[in-house]
Amino acid sequence: MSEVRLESVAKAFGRVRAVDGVSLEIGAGELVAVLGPSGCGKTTLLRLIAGFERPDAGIVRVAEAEMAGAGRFVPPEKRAVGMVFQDYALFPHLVVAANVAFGLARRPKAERGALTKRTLELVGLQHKADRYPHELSGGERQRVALARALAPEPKVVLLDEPFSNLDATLRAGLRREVELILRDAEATALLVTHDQEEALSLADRLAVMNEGRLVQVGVPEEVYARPAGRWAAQFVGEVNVLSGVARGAGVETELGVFDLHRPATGAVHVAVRPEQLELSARHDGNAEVVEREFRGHDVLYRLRHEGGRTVLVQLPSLELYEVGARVFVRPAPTSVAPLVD
Amino acid sequence: MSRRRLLALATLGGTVLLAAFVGVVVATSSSGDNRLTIYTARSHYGEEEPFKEFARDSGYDLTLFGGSAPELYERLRSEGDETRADVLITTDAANLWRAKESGLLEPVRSAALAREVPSRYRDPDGEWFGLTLRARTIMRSTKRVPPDAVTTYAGLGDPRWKGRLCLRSGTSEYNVSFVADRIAKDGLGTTKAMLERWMANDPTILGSDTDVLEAIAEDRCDVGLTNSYYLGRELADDPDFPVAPVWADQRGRGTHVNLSGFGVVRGTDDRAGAVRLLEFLARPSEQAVFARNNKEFPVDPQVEGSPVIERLGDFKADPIDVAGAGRHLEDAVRLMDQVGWK
Amino acid sequence: MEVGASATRAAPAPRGARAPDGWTAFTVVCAVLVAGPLLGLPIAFITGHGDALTRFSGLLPEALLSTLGLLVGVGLGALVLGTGLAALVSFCDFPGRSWLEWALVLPLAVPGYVFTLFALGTLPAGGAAIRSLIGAVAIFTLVLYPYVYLLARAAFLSQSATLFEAARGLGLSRREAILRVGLPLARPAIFGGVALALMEALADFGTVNLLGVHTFTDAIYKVWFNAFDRQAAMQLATFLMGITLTLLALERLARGRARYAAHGRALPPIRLRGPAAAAAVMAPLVLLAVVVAAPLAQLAAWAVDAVDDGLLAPEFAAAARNSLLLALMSAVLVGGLATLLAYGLRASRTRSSALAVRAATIGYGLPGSVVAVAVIVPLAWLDHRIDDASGSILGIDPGLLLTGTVIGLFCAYTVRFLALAFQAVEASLGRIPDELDEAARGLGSDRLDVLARVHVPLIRAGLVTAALLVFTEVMKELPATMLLRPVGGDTLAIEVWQATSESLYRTAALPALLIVLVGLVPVILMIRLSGRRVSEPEAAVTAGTWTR
Repeated sequence: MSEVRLESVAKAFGRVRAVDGVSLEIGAGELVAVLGPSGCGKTTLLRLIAGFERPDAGIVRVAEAEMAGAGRFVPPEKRAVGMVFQDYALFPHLVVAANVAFGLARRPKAERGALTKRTLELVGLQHKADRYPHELSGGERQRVALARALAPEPKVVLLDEPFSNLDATLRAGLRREVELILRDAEATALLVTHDQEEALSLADRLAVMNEGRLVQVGVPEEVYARPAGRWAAQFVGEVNVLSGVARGAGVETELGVFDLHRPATGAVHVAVRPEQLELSARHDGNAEVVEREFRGHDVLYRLRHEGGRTVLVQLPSLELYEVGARVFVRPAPTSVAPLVD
Repeated sequence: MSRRRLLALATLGGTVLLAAFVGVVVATSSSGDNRLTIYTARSHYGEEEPFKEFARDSGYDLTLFGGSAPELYERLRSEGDETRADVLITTDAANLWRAKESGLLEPVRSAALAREVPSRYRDPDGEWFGLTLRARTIMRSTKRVPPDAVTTYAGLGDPRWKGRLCLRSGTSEYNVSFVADRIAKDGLGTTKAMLERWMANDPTILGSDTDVLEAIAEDRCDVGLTNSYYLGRELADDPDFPVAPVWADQRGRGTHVNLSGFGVVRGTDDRAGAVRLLEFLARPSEQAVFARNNKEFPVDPQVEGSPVIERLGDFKADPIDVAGAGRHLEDAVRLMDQVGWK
Repeated sequence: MEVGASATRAAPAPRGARAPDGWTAFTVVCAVLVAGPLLGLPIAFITGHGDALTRFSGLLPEALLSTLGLLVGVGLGALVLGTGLAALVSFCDFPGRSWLEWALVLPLAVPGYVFTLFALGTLPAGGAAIRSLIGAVAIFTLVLYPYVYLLARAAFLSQSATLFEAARGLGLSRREAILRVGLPLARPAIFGGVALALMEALADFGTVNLLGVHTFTDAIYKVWFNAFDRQAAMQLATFLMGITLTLLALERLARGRARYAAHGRALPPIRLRGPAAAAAVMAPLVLLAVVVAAPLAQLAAWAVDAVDDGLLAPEFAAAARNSLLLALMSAVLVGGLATLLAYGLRASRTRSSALAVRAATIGYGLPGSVVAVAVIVPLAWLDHRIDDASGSILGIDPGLLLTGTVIGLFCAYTVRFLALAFQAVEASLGRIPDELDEAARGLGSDRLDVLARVHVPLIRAGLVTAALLVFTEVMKELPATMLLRPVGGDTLAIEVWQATSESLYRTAALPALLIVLVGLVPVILMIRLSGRRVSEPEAAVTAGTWTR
């Protein structure tokens, strides 16, 4: 499988600039997630790559071949780009095997059969080959959609919010399965989602998108720990944005001193994740627990700091603090980075 | 369905459709020698022998195309000179007049026709000729109404018939021609007065002449106004049918007589053949057949008509003033609407 | 399992603005060709004498009142009867329901004028009782309710059980749940059916004429054929067109802007017992006896009489052949055009094509005679031009190619029946979400492939329904056929009419019987197609989103 390259791609609908000068590269075999809120343009981005929309500007390349650009436009059926829709879009009048084999119509019969079988095995649905889509569960349908997209051995697989239609309990497990399938197939994949947990866990690289622009691109750890700006910090996970004074290797904030990821001086804002703080019970502490959200393996506390601001702290659920308890909050031994904006 | 099958199906379907279409077009666009097309409003009188006889004798192929007079008229008008029709036959003189006024007919000079059709029943310019006559007159119940209870058209307005008068709908061409004829002869005012008195009797308006006759027979009405041949049909079916005609206005002008007639269509491809047909149809023997078949009066007074009708007695006829009635058709429609004759 | 219905889009929303393209042009051209002749009607206001209407103003008040009375009466009647019966067979179970369910559609095969024929000939006093507006309303209701019945039933059957359960949970009894949840949800379908029924009633001439009810259509005929004032008639026809447009607009408003998608389990029916069950069986049976069985029997008796007494119309066999051929060819032609139009709409999704489609479907509400006149004028003009041109250029005389052959008829049928076929095709095509197209294209299918492998299997039922509907309508059609048929092209309907206008009921019986019998076949087939409970794949496609 090969790569995708977007060069300053733009697309507007009326006055709305859905995609506003996006450049992105996806390497062969890479799984990239585009994360952003509804309406940020991520689905349009996908459709531009698939060929369902024509870019107003910029170039779309798949495997070094120009698919859309100045004067040139390759229609979707010629792009060898597989797409998994949010609603799966399975053909209701065809059984699973026929759905999966749909893109193989031009291949010789023997090859068709073999590919179908192999792909069905890849997604673990070979025993349901003769069922109709309406007879399957949500998760099974999703896997059929994936198999159908993968069967013709496309250059790229595009996934449009593939898990959003599933029950929360299924999601995590299916996420794992889909990731395994994609890696097994050595697929180059682009997945768009608004679910940051999904993006963070699945992606090799993550692109955060807002209002048609890419705000930050990087590996999940990087994007999470070193958000490029306030908006990115707040969108990808919970965060406390603190103001402080940087003095070389550390930064002084109202919650204490944090190590700086790289040296800086002067007034800065830093993003402090809830897990980058510690609590201890102290009746003369500097904060009071206002709210407590028990999330199973961890707890998110909302504190009111003596300085007046609200502070989010996440701790393992082994030890619980009550609402109303006075605590002392301080930085954990960790480093933060100054926010760019 | 695979792409190939779809294309094959579409091609097959398209071919079949095209073939069927061409077939139908060819089948219905026949033209050629020894062919005459007749637009006739008499089509619903059933098969009439004279046409078949003519076809046998002359070797001509006759195509009879039926419809109501207005429809045939519309058709001829829009077809213009390209029309395939050779002969037009109508059931009402007004229709003939209209056809002539619209230039749809050709003048015919034929000694035979002049001989067989009395001059008062044909167009002075030779564009149309009467074939059969029908009287539109008062019908009475034999059980409840003595013969001289009502003798004039105006008499139908007598208050004694209130609620007991049946009339056919005002849209009927026979009624319109009747009213138009009276306007032409008596003037608008007199006719209006007569109709107003008719309407004051709260007449039951029915859809057809046959319905009127049946209403009288079934005692729902005592008197009505219909064409004579409808009664003839009823009597042919049932000689004891309890309705009898009253030949209206015998002391005045006479009973309103309309005619069914024909003319040669302008633009005909075979004028000679058309005239030949007309002359054949106008022969006394054929007139007799027409008249007998539909219980009408032949146009030639010397020809024996239907015995059923003949038995009803002789009467003074007031032939419709074709041109006059034609000119007042619109007035008639408006008048009937004004007085409420629905 | 999440709760079923939400106000989801039943058809996918347009994806952004699209520049006008070939498909838009196509739909617009279609609309111009089909609706264009109808424009000739209002133009009569310009070309005709302005006083035409004042001269006939006496006709107007009664025509207006009668027509409005007819609309209101038939609308209410068909609504109540059709919806009631549909609710009965959808929500309740009683012995015989499974076949009564489809038997109730049979009246579609009986044209109004045939039933009127039967009624006039059978009722005492020559049917004097029904020769009134009320009689006309009654007859139309009996013959047209299947439009409402079919659509309402389809809507009821596709409603989700969970909705009703939610309603019951809020304290409503079963009956209340049906009334307050089921009925409103089915509203778009019900009103669609009522609109269809009303358009049929508006377009009818035969029935009202035989009954002496003076509607607008009748006024048009009067003015045109008795007074030969074509311009005034066309002006009146323009009014009629206005009424139709208003009807269409009202129907659209009544449908509301939300499209009610359907998914979820079907509702378990209420079992009826005892007197309720008996009533549930008897009512439809009586209805069918009156509307279908009795007329058939009487017509058959009369027909036998006619054959015995030799009262048959002369060209009977040819008429039968013509009816069948015309109906078949029209079904294919008009069905094909409707499909192309539905496609054009789907492919272009611009406002102009949506408007074009609406314009092209207006002919359904107009009387056949009006459509025929509107069509004959341009066609005759074309005919003479073609004839002149070919005469001077090619030296041959083709005669009247358009008005002298079946082409003119097809034009009139298209203008009149495109709406019907289009609605049938659009109902299934419109349910296919864009995503399916895109999925197929992403898998390497070009547009033709998408058509063949995705669309055709999914719209097959709609296509067949469209063809069958047109077939039945053409079999029954009278006024336009009268005016535009070529020589030798008489149909069974023509035979019936000609005999009726001379009160020759027995002569009219055999062709009338044939019309009904032949009309029954496609109706039964159509029932078969839509009769089974909505098939699962179709239900899945119907759903705006897949059920979890």
